[in-house]
Amino acid sequence: MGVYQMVEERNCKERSSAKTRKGPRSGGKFDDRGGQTPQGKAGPGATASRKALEMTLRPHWDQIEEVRTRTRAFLRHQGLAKELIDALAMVSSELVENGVKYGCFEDPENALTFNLHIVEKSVIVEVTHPTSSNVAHHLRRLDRTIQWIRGFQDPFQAYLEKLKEVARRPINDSESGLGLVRIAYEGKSIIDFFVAEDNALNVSAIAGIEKGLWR
Amino acid sequence: MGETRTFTNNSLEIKVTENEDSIKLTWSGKSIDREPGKFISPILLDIIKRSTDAGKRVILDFGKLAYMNSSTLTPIIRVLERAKKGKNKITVTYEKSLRWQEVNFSALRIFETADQRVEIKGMAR
Repeated sequence: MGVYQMVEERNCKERSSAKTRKGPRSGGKFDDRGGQTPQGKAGPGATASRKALEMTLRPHWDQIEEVRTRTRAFLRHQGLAKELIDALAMVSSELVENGVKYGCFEDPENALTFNLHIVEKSVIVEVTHPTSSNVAHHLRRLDRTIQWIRGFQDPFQAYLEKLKEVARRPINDSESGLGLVRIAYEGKSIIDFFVAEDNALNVSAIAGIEKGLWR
Repeated sequence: MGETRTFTNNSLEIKVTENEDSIKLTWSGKSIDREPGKFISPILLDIIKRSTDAGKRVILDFGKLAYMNSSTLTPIIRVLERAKKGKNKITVTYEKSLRWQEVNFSALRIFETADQRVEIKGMAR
């Protein structure tokens, strides 16, 4: 379950520690080292073979295409099937899109972190970014949306309901609101989020690698 | 072959081909803009108006589209919703063998009408 109560209402410029916590300043890297499972996902201290793609991004829209390209190359290199690569590239870019839209980047040092880990039979996509002073509203909405999606037994039903809701809005309303539910449905992913001590928001999506989706 | 016009925005291309009985929009490339509706909505609204005036069917062909972000669906489903409640004839076609297209576009069947005025078709090319 998402946790947003810890967030303090203060200007994001004061939050220099909320900038990206790991990874190089630009570009991405493949990490094929074995290692511990990311904490809080498969349980702290769990040991598993881990393969990861880590990127530190500036909040520019064209970086999203870069994420998609590198995600596809990394997953191809890991031997995943095309349909899973397509789905995870979508999950990655939708999460990064949200990060770019809702993150706080007033401080030029603030950046966004993208991590993709393969842990045994799961793929974990995580996007972390600094939050802004009006973050409480966004986090409440994020929490509501995630809980709403979880209320459906089948994410497809959630997707259909969202399509109907969005379709009824005025034609010039630019708000989509389809990203998270698409991640749950098309990406077959479980979405979660938490706010770290430095007030950075971490949103994650975990997808299982079904039998037959390794090449 | 009817009149053809092509609209391009970054990596998205929409080719509009008008024939005697239909106006076909062939989508190709990627739709990855922050607000894709700014480019897509005016084209769709213009085509819908012209098709209404001329009594033609609008065909939205997504088969060659390589990728779209979720914001791209917004103007499309709003047009389908209006067509469902109105009198327009719209056919959506997509590439059935591409999973991402199948899962996204087959869901649009909720906008289909019993008289096939609005129809969604998965094609195998």
